[in-house]
This record gives sequence, C-alpha cells and structure tokens, in this order.
Amino acid sequence: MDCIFCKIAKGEISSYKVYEDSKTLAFLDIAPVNNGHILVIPKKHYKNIEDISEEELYVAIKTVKKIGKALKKSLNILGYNVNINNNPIAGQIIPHIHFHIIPRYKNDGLKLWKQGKYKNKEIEKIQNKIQKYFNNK
Amino acid sequence: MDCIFCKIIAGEIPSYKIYEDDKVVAFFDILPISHGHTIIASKKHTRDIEGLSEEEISAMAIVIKKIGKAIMEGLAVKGYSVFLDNKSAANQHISHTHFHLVPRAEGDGLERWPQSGYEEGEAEHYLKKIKAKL
Repeated sequence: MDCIFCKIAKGEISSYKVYEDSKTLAFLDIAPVNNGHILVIPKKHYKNIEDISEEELYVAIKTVKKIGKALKKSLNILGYNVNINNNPIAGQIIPHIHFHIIPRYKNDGLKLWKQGKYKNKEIEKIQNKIQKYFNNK
Repeated sequence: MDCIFCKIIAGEIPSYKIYEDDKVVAFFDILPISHGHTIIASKKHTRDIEGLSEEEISAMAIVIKKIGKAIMEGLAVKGYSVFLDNKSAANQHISHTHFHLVPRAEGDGLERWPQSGYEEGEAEHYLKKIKAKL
C-alpha cells in the first residue's frame, strides 16, 4: 500500500498527532490553511464517501466533533470549517478520505465560495433529476 | 422559534426538499454555489454539531452518503465538496446544524484556500495546545 495516510496511520511516517482511537486519527496538516489546521482520517483505507461504510463515516464525524470542540477551547478562534473534498474533481489530492478542520481567526481573509441564483424553473429541473434517482432505486 | 430551518422542517416555509427521514432533511440551497447545492440539516434544532447526539450524527452520516450518491448519479457529476461551517465567523449563517454538499465540475473555478507552512517549532506549539484540551 503506497498511501501516505495509511503510512501515517501505521506510524511508518511521523506526523503531529493530536488524537487517536481504535478507528480514527487526527493530526496537523503540515501545509495549513490556518494555524491548527487538522486532518481527521479513518485508519482503514477508504477512498471517498462512496467507499466508506456508514458506520465508519459516523465514527469519523464523531472524531471531527471532538477535535472541533478542542480547537475552540485551545486556540483563540472564532469558529472552524469542516470540509471533505470528495474525489479529485473536488480537489481531493490524497485518495484516502479525510476531513479538513480549519480554525478561523479574526480577519483571516478566507472567503466562502460565491453563491448564485437559479434561473426560472432551473431548480425544479435539477430537483427532478435527483428525485428520479431516488425513485429509480 | 425564529429559526428558518426549523420553519422549513415544519413545512411553514416551502423548500425544494429532496429527502427526508425521521431525523434528517435535505433540501436545495436557493443561493447555490453550484447547481444541485444541497443542505443536509438535522431535524432537531441545535446550534452546532456539538449539540447533536451520537444517534443524530449517525443519521447525518447515512444521509450524506445517500445524497452524495444521488447527486453524483442524478446530476452525472464526478465529485462534490462537503462543508460544515461552525460559527458565523466560519460562514455559518443559520444557527441550525447543517452540512453543505456542493456538486463539482471541471473548470468550475472553485479553488481550495491557499496553504502555507509552519515555522520551526510552531507546529509543536499548536500540537501541545490542542492536545491539552483533548
């Protein structure tokens, strides 16, 4: 297995580990968006949200909750963003599912992606497409 | 209760709902980052994830997988971004726990926030601080 996160999980590559339990691991991203930027991973290798089981995804989110709380208590932050880039098209670079937890500081200049509006009936068309998927299952 | 998501869940305000079960609801963000941008909210009103029980988090995880799949197959996209914004400084505008699922496309121009590095000893400093609260 050539996955860098698997190697970190096994301790074959060192990391700034902040938390570990039997199923998940949390460590500092060494190329942080903001200081204290954490990555949470399942120890087992899953590529993405499609690949991971409901149970393991739940356990990982539980760890995210724990780490978020600790960040608020330990750093002088205003909040945090949790983000999964699911698949390369969404900017996923390491193909081992991971949550980014990015602490937010006053005036850190990070901006939300621009939001738009739907044109006439566009929203219904898109809703139908997704609904159809559920109905066809 | 003056929460807009609670009103959507109660059906007092209309929404483009795509999924609902006893704990979770999913509907479209009407100010979408991309088409099909979906909000997944817990039915119980809690300000943030810290207020959700394990059972509710589990229900959210199940729905994230479900909606993700529906978005990928229904809209024929190859991936999506998931966000959970905690506190208004982190862009959480509605104080009712919710995830965003943003379908992604080639050349959509949505970029990751810029990353930097730690100076010598700085990473250890943060590590120590955070670990002390865990």
